Amino acid sequence: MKGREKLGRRVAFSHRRYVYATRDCFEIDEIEGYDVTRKRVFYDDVVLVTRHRMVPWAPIVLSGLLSLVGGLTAFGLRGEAHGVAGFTVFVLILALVTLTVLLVAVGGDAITIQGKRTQARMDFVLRRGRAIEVYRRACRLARERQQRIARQAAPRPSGVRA
Amino acid sequence: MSPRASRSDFGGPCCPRCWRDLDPERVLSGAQSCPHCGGVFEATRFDPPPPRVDVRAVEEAGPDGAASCAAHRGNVAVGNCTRCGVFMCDLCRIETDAKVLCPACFDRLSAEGALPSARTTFRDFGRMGATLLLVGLVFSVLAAPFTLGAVYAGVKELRQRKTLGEGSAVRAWIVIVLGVLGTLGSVAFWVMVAVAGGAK
Repeated sequence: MKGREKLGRRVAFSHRRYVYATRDCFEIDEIEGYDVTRKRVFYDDVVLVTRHRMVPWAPIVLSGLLSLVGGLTAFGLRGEAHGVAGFTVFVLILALVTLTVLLVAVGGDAITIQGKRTQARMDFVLRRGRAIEVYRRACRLARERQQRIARQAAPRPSGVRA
Repeated sequence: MSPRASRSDFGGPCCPRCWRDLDPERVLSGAQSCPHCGGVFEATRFDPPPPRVDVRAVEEAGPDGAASCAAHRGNVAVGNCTRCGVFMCDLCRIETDAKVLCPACFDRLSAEGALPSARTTFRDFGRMGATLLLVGLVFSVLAAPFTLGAVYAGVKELRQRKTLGEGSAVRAWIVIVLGVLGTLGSVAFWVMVAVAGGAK
């Protein structure tokens, strides 16, 4: 693997975390302001990879609030907004309501990669296919490395010289 | 078992939902449920092989067979530190960033930030450059100081990426190009103003 490849991210109010796959490890870049702190989960240190369904509360609340505000605005403008303006408001509200329903119905997937001392977590909202792909990839990277180490550490059959 | 003090305080396998410790022996691959919160998750368990280091004793190698390690007198040296030249056994040998180092030199170089793979803190110059560009956009014809700053941040980002061996630098190049264009635009505006003022 040349360089590093972005696997996923997790965004919170105060910071963002990006997870990358590199030649030897998963790199987690935690960004707070303009400072980046890097942690690593080495492939030969991985003990557990998990995937679970999660409810993306922040996007649901945000799109729900925006739908509500849009709906109230449309209600206030009823009778005044005709033609293109009325249609635009209707489409916007419909899109926001659809997004909120989708977020509630489909939700998201969270993946954690747990090492002996560090861990990486990624959230995939409305992207289950990508989440499954990343889960399998993380498992494959860790498995390949650990199997290689185990093969190297295995005792050689008698009569074979190094 | 109690919940962890914080989610960054990580110390081994835990439930991805409630972050409480899980018994490593009980976690299996497949569908799992947390014994604490009852949350369901899919897991793949790994049993990392213990690190194996073959260290030969000097007695085994014989007096003429090998030099001994500087830190472990009883162990056979397998090489020299590429920085200070000290003899090292397999326990002391640290291979990183195309160098073979002894623990002392590794500590020294990583403290100086000379080993890219051992660095853990950076500046996000790319983001800094993008912010400066946006500020420049707000200040319109007075953008030059900000866009120049963005160009500087873009160049720093490129250098950092090269040092760290990171791939795509598209964002840095976009920041540099837009920064240069913004600076030129701002300077051109003031030149035109000066020329027009002189003509009157």
